[in-house]
Amino acid sequence: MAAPESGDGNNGAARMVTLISSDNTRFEVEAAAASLSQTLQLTILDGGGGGGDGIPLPNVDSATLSKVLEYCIKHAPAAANGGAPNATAVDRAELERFDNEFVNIDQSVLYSLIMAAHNLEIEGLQSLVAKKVADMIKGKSPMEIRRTLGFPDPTPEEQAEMNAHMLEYGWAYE
Amino acid sequence: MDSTGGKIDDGLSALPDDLLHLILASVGDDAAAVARTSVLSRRWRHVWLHAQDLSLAEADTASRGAPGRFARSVDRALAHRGDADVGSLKIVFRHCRATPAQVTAWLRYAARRVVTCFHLDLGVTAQTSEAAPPPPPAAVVELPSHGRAASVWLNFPALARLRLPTTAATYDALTKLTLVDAWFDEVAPGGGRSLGSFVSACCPRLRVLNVGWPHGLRHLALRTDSLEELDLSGAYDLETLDVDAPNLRLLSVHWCFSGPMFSRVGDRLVATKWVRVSSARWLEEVRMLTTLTRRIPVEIRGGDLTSVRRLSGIALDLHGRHCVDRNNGLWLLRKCTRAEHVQVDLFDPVPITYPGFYDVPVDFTAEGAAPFASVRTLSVMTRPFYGRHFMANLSSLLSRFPCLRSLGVDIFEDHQGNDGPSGCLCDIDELDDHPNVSLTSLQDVKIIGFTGTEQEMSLVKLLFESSSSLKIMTVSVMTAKGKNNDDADGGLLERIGRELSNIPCNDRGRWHREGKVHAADGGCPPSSAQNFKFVWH
Repeated sequence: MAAPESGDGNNGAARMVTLISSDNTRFEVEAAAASLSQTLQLTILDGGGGGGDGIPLPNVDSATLSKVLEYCIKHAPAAANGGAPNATAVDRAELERFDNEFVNIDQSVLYSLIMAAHNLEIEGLQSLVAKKVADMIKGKSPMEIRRTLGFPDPTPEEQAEMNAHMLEYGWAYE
Repeated sequence: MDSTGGKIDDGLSALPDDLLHLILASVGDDAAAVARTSVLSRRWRHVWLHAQDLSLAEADTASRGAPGRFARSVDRALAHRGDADVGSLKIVFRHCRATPAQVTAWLRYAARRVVTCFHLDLGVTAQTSEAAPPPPPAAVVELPSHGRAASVWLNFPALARLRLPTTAATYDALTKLTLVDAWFDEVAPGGGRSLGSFVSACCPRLRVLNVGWPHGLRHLALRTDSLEELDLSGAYDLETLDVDAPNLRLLSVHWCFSGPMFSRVGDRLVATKWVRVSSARWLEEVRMLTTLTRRIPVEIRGGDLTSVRRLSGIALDLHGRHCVDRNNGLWLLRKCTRAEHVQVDLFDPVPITYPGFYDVPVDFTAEGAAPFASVRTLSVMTRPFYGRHFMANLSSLLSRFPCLRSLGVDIFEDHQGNDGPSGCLCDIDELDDHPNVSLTSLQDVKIIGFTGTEQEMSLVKLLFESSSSLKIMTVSVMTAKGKNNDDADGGLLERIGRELSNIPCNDRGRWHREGKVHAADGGCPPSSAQNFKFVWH
């Protein structure tokens, strides 16, 4: 199942590694893509994840992991170029288009994604999701923020607390 | 089973504080939006207050709020953080309604806790009188004797005088210091350490010093190995500037000094105002504009100005061929013999009514005067010139820059009509006697603020006549803004287009019109000056 490791790394097939989600699904992926994760990069550099072993990821379920890997595979070529200083404007525009569509998803998936990106230390993905959530916060009234982020309307007791707080920091609510 | 809302809330609330802070940091510069996340839940109530970078900003509409409310809110926020370090702290007032005691407490807090950047903008003071300068404020706020931040930015209006620490002080990490609108306490009896002494003795790593619109800063003497950029703006009280900074790269003295600059000793005039720059061997960029009527003495010690590549803001007072060098513009052009980029404000000196009030004019275009041959890029800002002075001044200027590759002319506003008030420095009959202009390397020209006057057309004509190397010329037209007279604008553009096409130019290019169409073409009203361009290439 796992691709044979190419010793010279020159003209053989790209090195593959296997990742195992919390619900025991195995994902085979190029080492270069998985290495976008700082955590996985160390293991992979140590020779882990090849052969039949696989790297277990007990904190990431298969739905989230498949989404994370979609991001990594898309961004791996640019990352290999050291942050893509050589990338053409077209390449960058394409990545931007991909990113915008990629985070256009259900909020619950967004939160799972940012959590996974945090655990796996994938900086680009963390920032991307954080930016998306931040955009949902900007330019909204307190009640709009609550509703956008799916918080239930406050109980009378909580409303009173909120009002007291808003009075203390009035400058943010004018 | 949970409702969708409940599930989402669980997702967001399950995130660790690190991630909540990352999300808040991504909100960016909108301090109020960050603070508003406190309404989400009890957990979120204080998350924003504990962010690595904390920003508190009074709203634009703050005048409606009770006085002192924002200041109390700042107190509360800082108290909430307790002893935790903060990366950067930004406090922005619209109106200065803090007490000196509060400001003192914030400065102390910042000195102890802020690691990277402390930004305190106390806004504007309520009572400013146009007629008389306000008296120095009575209260004094003293800067703490130690600070940790790498960058400090203070806008310190007439709330209190700013006293620099009197005792042994260290700001070891400070690399950038900006002080705006501060009332310095150094001249008062028993006042604090001078700014020069503070920077020289207490800030061993300071690379950038910006001082804008200071009050009571009369003498500034800096001895610093670390300083690379010095920018003084609006220092009207300044009398002497003495900079000994071997690593200085930028020296900007912009709208500084004022009033009389000589005192009479016996029958001699002695300069009481001066600038001295020592051992600045790496100086790359100089900007100098004063509000004086005569040239301030500038002494360069331990080197010359041949390292300067950019004169990014100088002024010349031209009257045709005559130049009154009250701003040191001509002096700098002569001294900075390897300057490549020059940005010059072209002033039109007021008529000389008092002999001796201004320096004696010199002939800017004198035969035998060395051209400024190292200059490749020249950017000119014109003032409203009287009548034919426009061309007289520009041809005079351009005659000294034979090696230009790139020229920009920003026409502030062109006076039409008469050639100037009585008492004009130059002989009216000389105004059409232009020096020879030859620009054999000139490749691109940008003219903005063009209104199509005869004088402006003459400039375009001169540029084509004096350069066969020209590749592109862009003329941005200033239409009658605000008048909303589409027909008139359309007519103007048509006339300008026609007249430009009639100017003899070399055959390698022709004029094209760019920008929005005018009303006659498509019913789209012109909205701003930059919408219409004629490009020759």
